[in-house]
Amino acid sequence: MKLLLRVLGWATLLAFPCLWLSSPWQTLLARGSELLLALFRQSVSIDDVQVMAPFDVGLFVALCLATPVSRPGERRRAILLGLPAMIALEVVVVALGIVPGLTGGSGADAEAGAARLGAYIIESVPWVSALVVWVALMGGRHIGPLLEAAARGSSPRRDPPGAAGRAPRA
Amino acid sequence: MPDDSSHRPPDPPRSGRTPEPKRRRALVRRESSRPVLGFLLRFVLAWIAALLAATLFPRIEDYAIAATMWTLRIVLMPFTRGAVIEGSMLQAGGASVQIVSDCTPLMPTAALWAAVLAFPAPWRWRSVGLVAGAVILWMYNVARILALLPVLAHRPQWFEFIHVYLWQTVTLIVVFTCFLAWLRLQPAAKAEP
Repeated sequence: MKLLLRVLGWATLLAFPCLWLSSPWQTLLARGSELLLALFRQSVSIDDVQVMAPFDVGLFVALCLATPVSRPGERRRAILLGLPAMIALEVVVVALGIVPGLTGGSGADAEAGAARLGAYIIESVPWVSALVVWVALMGGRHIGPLLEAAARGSSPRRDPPGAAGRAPRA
Repeated sequence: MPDDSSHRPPDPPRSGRTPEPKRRRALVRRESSRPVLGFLLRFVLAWIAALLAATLFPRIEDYAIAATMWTLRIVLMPFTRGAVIEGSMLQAGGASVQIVSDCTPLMPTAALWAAVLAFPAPWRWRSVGLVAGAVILWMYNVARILALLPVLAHRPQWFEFIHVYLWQTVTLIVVFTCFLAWLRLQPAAKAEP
């Protein structure tokens, strides 16, 4: 509960700079995705990506800042590794969202399907990227013991706050 | 320095070089991160499956919009006399909003379902998570839309920020909370065969 409240607090604070950065960030995101597609000889001009960036980056940083750590520098390391990963994910996902429109078949149904798939792929930015990168870098200490307990078929231990990451007990 | 070797259990026979503590720690870390990586892989695969399902069956989206409108109609009925609901348009309290696919809880529910399905829990408990999670996210989404109406009516300049903040940040925290609550409430159970 404390973790969630801390996440909410940090995310609320970071939402303001994220809103302020939103427009230039999305322009840069569009240019980055254009460059990525150009590497695959696809010349595309993206006017507007309409993705909730960089709120996903703000949420990732909020998750990192809210997570209790056992070693000094662990949080900084996660943020320094995670930020480029988040930005790269955004660029790749937006580029992937364009691909169905480029490769989709002809006809109204096929075009509508390709547009729908592209829009859904882009939804991965707000709904998936922050949590996946956080779990990979820091959240594993919260979910890992529960996963190990589940694999052993035992009830997960209820860790006191800040005790996450220690050896799980069945 | 006293020799405490007699208190130590005898080391098991080993072949080759003794692993250094650093290497041993790295091995332990790699071993303990394997379930997490497996979970993440299953989660991403389930998410991709959800995206493909939503693409192949566009009626899911239509149904979600229609059901959201229906729920709003039911919720608003006893409180607001002037509420008008036509198609996907909602007018109430001096504000008017159009409910589109992004306003439905489809994507957050898909994210929660992907996490629940990716976690190695008994199927009965997974079913509880899927149903309860969908209901909670549905109720949250209706509350979110209703919370946006007075903002739109009285402080339209705040709408963009609150809309993005409520939909992105708070919704993800709600999804995360649902998943953590589902994990923590999991009853002691035998592992699935």
